[in-house]
Amino acid sequence: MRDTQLDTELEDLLPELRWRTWIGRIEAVLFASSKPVSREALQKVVGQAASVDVLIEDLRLDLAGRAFEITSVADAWIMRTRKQYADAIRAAADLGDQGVAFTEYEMAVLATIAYHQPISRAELKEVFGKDINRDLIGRLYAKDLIATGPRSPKRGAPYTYVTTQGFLLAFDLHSLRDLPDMEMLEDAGLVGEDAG
Amino acid sequence: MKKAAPPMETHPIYLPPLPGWVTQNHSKTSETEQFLSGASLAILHVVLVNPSDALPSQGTLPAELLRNRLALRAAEACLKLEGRRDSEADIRDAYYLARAGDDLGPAGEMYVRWRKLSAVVLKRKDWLPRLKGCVSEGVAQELPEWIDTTMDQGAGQGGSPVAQASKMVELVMAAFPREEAAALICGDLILARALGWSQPVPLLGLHLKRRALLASPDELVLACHQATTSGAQDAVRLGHDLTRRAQRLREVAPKLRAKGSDQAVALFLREDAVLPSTMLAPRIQGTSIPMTSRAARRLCDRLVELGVVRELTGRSTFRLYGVA
Repeated sequence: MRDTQLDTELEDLLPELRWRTWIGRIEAVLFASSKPVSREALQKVVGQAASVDVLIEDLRLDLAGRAFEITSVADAWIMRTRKQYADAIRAAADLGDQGVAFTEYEMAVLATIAYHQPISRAELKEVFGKDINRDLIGRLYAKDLIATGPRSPKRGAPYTYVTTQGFLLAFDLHSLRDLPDMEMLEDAGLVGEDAG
Repeated sequence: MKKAAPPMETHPIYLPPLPGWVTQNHSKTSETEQFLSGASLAILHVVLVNPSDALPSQGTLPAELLRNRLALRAAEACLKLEGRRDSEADIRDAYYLARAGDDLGPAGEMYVRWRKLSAVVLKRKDWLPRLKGCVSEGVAQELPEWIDTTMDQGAGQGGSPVAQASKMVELVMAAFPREEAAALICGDLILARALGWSQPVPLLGLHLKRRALLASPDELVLACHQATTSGAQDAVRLGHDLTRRAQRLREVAPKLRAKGSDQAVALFLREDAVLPSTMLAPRIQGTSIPMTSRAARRLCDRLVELGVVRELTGRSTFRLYGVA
């Protein structure tokens, strides 16, 4: 790859225009990327002393009233359409299987992985009382919601599953810390005692 | 074919004890809390400084093992703060059973963060980038400024090391209210730095509760004194225990005839747990000395038989061994 020298400091511009240009660059990078873009990556297109956080805040103000917004996920940002336009997008385009649509059962398996990770297929079976379909696990992989975790200390050292950054993004969580509190769920009678 | 192990030669070792006046219950006023945290840190300081070269009657503290084990406890406490329930055993499994390329999961990652913190060498120039590697990018970006603020407060207003650490916890929590682990990691680094220790020791991370983290600055300082007292006393007791066990392990080391046994013993004196199939075989971790899986298993069995190492999991496979 050619090393293109991007002028990040923009010293020949007036401060106001320089700031606008940096905001524009961040907007362009986020628009062009389908995945969250890290702070590190964004810092590469703006001046060394410029704060990515402040630039993002200004960009958010610019986007007030527009159909898309900037969301942060685990120290990275992504531009996406606002929730209220979901129906419109669905009506206009047949999104088919691309979207992250779940059956209740898939959702239950995913939630179990999120709370009990790392968890193996055998342990999932204990929770659900039946074998978890490999296709279902495969779909969660394909949607980039789960990944392979440490081996389980069982015969054959089976894989365990853990959740990914894509999982956080899909459910609007900044980190796993934002999962609803287990104790709260227990108090509400939504989950049973810890299986492990 | 097995011969009974000969009675162990035990050299009495002197370990600075925790006097009764630091462990008994005092009234919970800020004055007593401050007194106790200072006294407890002073005793831990003596344990950590490890003057065994000057006084051969003192055992040598396996410092890295102590820090790793405290890191494990801190990881467990921080996962709890995040609403997770991973036990020490779960965390060990996540960390030691992961193979290259596997995702560690939240428990293993939390342990890695605390291990990385305890491995920071404070007199080296790269301590700040290393600390940044233990926290999220967001926290990392603010750290230089916060460190300056913490130190200003310390020097300008005569704040004690605990007060400086408390200030750091407060700054992280104010800006990132959901990053308790980062707050405690940074707090423990500031504490060690203010005390002039060569490496951070997880102390605040073991005992600070969520309610204290969200309390007013004054209440937080008091909670930090309490947490420091408990953490430092835990570290002293664990330090004594590990020093005695390490001494016994060193004493039996010459009896082991397996090739590479010295290096294996050295590994046990650093690591919280050893998984023979990956850490002793095919090569002893950190060395180029080869060992077969079978030899590794036999060595671990022999160490258990000699009573210097324990199997930590109670499983029949994927066993983890450690000084305990």
